[in-house]
Amino acid sequence: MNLPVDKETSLDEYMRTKQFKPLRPGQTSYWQNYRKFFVSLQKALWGDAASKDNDWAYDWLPKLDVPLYDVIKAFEMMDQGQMGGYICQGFNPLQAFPDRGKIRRSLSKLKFLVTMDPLDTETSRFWQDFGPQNPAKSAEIQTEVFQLPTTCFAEENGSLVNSARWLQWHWKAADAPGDAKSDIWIMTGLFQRLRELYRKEGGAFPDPVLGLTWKYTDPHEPDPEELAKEMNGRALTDLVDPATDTVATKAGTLLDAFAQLRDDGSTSSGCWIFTGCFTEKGNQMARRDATDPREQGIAPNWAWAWPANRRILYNRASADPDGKPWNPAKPVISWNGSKWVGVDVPDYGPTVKPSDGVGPFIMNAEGMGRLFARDMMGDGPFPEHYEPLESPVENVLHPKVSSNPVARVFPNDRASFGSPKNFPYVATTYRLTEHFHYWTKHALINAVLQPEEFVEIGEALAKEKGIEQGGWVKVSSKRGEVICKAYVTKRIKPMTVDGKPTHVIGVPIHWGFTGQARKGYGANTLTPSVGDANTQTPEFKAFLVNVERTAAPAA
Amino acid sequence: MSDLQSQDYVRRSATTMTPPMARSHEDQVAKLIDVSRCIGCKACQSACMEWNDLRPEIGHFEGSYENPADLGPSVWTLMKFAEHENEQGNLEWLIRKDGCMHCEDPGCLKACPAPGAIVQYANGIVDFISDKCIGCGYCVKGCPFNIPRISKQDHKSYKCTLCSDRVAVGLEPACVKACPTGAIMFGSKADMQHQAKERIVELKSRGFDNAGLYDPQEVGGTHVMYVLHHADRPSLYSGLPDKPRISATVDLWKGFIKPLGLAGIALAALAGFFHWISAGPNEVTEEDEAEGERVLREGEEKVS
Amino acid sequence: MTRPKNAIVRYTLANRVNHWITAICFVLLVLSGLSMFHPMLFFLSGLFGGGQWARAAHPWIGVVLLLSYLGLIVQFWRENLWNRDDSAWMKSIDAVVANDEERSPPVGRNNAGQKLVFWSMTLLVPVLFFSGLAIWEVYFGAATSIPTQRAAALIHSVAALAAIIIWIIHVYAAIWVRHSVRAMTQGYVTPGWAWRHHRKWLLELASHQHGKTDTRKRT
Repeated sequence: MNLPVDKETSLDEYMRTKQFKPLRPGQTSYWQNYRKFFVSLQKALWGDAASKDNDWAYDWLPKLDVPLYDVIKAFEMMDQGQMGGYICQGFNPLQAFPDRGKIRRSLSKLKFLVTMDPLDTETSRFWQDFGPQNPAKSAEIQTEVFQLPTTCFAEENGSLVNSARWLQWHWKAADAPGDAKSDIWIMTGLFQRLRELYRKEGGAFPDPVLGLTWKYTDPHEPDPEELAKEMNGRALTDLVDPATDTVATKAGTLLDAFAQLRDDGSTSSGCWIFTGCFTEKGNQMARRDATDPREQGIAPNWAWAWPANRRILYNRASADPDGKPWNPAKPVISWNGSKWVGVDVPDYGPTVKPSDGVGPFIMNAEGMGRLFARDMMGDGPFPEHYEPLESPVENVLHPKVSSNPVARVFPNDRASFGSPKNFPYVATTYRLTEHFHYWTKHALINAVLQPEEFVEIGEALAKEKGIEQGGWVKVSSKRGEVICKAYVTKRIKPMTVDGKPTHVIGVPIHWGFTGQARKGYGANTLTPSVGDANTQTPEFKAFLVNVERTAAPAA
Repeated sequence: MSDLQSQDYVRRSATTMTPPMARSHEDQVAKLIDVSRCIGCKACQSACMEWNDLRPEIGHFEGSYENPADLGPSVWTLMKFAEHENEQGNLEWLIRKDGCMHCEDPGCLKACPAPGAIVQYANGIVDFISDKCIGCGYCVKGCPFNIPRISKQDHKSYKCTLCSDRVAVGLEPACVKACPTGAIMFGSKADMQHQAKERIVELKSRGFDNAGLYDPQEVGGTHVMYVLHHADRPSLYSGLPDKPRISATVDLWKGFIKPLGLAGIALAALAGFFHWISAGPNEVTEEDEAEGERVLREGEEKVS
Repeated sequence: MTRPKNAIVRYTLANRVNHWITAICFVLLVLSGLSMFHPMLFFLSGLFGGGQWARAAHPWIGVVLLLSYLGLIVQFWRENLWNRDDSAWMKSIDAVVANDEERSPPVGRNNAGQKLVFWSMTLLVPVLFFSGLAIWEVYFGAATSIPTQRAAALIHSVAALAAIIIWIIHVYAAIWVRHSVRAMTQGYVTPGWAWRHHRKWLLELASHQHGKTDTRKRT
């Protein structure tokens, strides 16, 4: 669900764009149920304080004044002095976000920084001089840094959600070292102290904080299981089935499905797509039956997938218009004459007949999959080729509009884009097998397997520049430089663009200045601070650099 | 690795008495490494380090994806990478897991002078019994594959044990367990050869005409085998020897030179003894003394 | 050192000390070396405190031996130069072996057998030393290629066996020709010994008497 924006001054105003009426007759358009999800969320957040009278505490939700507070926006604000403090939980911006120089500069302008992480992250130490890999002038930095060590996943109960949408529950295997505390304990502590301050001193608008519902067995460190149940949702009053006028669900019962959610304040759910993950039958996320009945990679009783334990979304599309599977060797669901059956939970009305012609894409108002965008995108309706913001060539389709015209680019960031004249090579970033982002360089075995920063250069470019295998190079963009060794490889060949060879330099991302591996400058020293026009995902994969042979650094 | 049971031995280094062969009914095991399925992820290296408690030093980038830079006393297996441009002009990244081949006729065992420091079990695994190792490095010279490495800390030789401790309790080697693509398989040698055969048929159907099994007969076959895309050119795979054999020099040094040398020494000593009891000592006689005195006196008189 | 009145000093203190350092080293090398050469003799490593000690000490003793043997070369090379007499003596080796020295030509300070021992050891000791360096794993394992090490190991073994056999001959000869050992322990021989075994040397000594009173003790 979307956070309301400033203009949406009431719940009704907000809901006007959330009706999602079917665009063709008979379509499901499941987002029609939006209000039920929203009200249930408000009840989960504010409990009894959210009622029909106050529009379910709609006014207590913060409102967006800009479309998105993404990472690039946040650091732009920081750089402009518009952000005084930053709580950085489980993130390592100095490593992960684009234009490391800007990140370092921005963090230096904060009044305070709080980091919550099990590892000693670079962000926590942005202020410390680590030599050329982090040339911080500590004496000039006024930021107060609070480094709060947290537990890692093996030191707490909880769920991990993967990109297949499975919520897999895990159990604590060991105590955390030293003073490390769970994120829950830390957040609870912050909340309770803020609430106390609001109670004693008042403030501009204390109501949302004071009104937050906090009914846990241990209010100082809520159980992960209790939080999971809260997100799942429960009936707050007896739920009466209007068809039979009997109580279908008693008050206090954990809900089985988001279909039970109501917009009259009788249900609560912290996350409607998770409803069903922790029911009266128990913690569904903890299930460990690996049986894959069709040997298709679908084990329906292993953990729990959002939503509704549906393993494949829109799985009605696995069957033809008559309800017979397109591939009889790999059926997912099929129509048996009276209902949809199969190895997966149908993403469709269970008894909707094939002949009714209801489209499988039930979240879309027209019931169909989309090859082009009707709305909700910054550009469209058709896909279009645009060059990256830093490109070696003009857009051959329309040179005057080379890159995406609706991309949000802050002025200072635009000023730090380089030109092909000075930075004639294309760089891209990627990962190595031996490391996961910036964590595993803290693990001894991973550091042994891949110890030191390097860039990858094709043989042709290496020859041109006199760069030897394993030789030292300086790779620079308009934003910064990386000094490391070069891996000269046959795996990178120059592309032929506009009839000319365009060289590509590969920059693995994993290096920083904390951890067991050798200190490195980091790929984001080079990358531009600009994101995709729609998602704001930073443009890490195509930007301009120069490369030169250089002497080995003084030891 | 420490001893299992001496009845498991079929070969024992520096031992003139034949091992008992009590367990020759056991199935020979083998580890099959299908190079065509390997993605170079190094899970095998991690698993080996974790199971065997090995932690080598953190090295440097040395112009290759190989880390650490070489096998060592704490590096019992190592992924090696070779970028190979084939005849069609396509790039093949040939990635091979290097380590002890567990030869049927182990060169290391043949060269080792310390009794029982290197043994071969009935199941084919060649193991170093570290408490007997004297650190001489002869195993390095015996090995056709350049595998054993001597520790500078404890002056003992180390290599892959084919997880003899795990195999002894019915588990697969750590690397086999960790490999995410199933490129490393383990079982009886017969089963592994069968698996390899099926895979080779499949590779050939995909255009790898020279796909084959690397199980070098020059060392009696090995208990670690490779399925190679280019079995006709093992040397493409980062120095895998084309025709590995125990060096003739080593064969000679550890062959008839040994009994010949001992015999020579014994004969020389015996010759001396028998000369003594036949010709006897060469004594100076009184006449010799008189003559000697005379010569000296005459010499002195000439001077004075 | 007490010696009889008519003693002729054949080996000086320097000669003797150098020889016995070399001899002791050689014996230790033979014992430790054989322990690593043949499994039946591995028990000899027990004399050195075990296999690791035998392996560690052997090359160091070898270094001492090389330096000591260089000393022997310096001290003895002149008296071991080959001449026509030596070839003639070799031809009558059967008489020598039968203790019938009258039938063989008179011998100078050293006979051909002694000279052969000297020169073969002078060849073998450096061969042993350098082949040994190549297989001295702890310091030179990384410096040499494996094929080089294989050749070195074979050469070292064969040279050692040859040296041991020559040593056996040398030791036996010293015992068989009575009072030879005393020459190297106490430094002197009697005129009779010189007359019987190295007559030409005795005659040279006698004719150089003028001005030299230290050839032998005299009251």
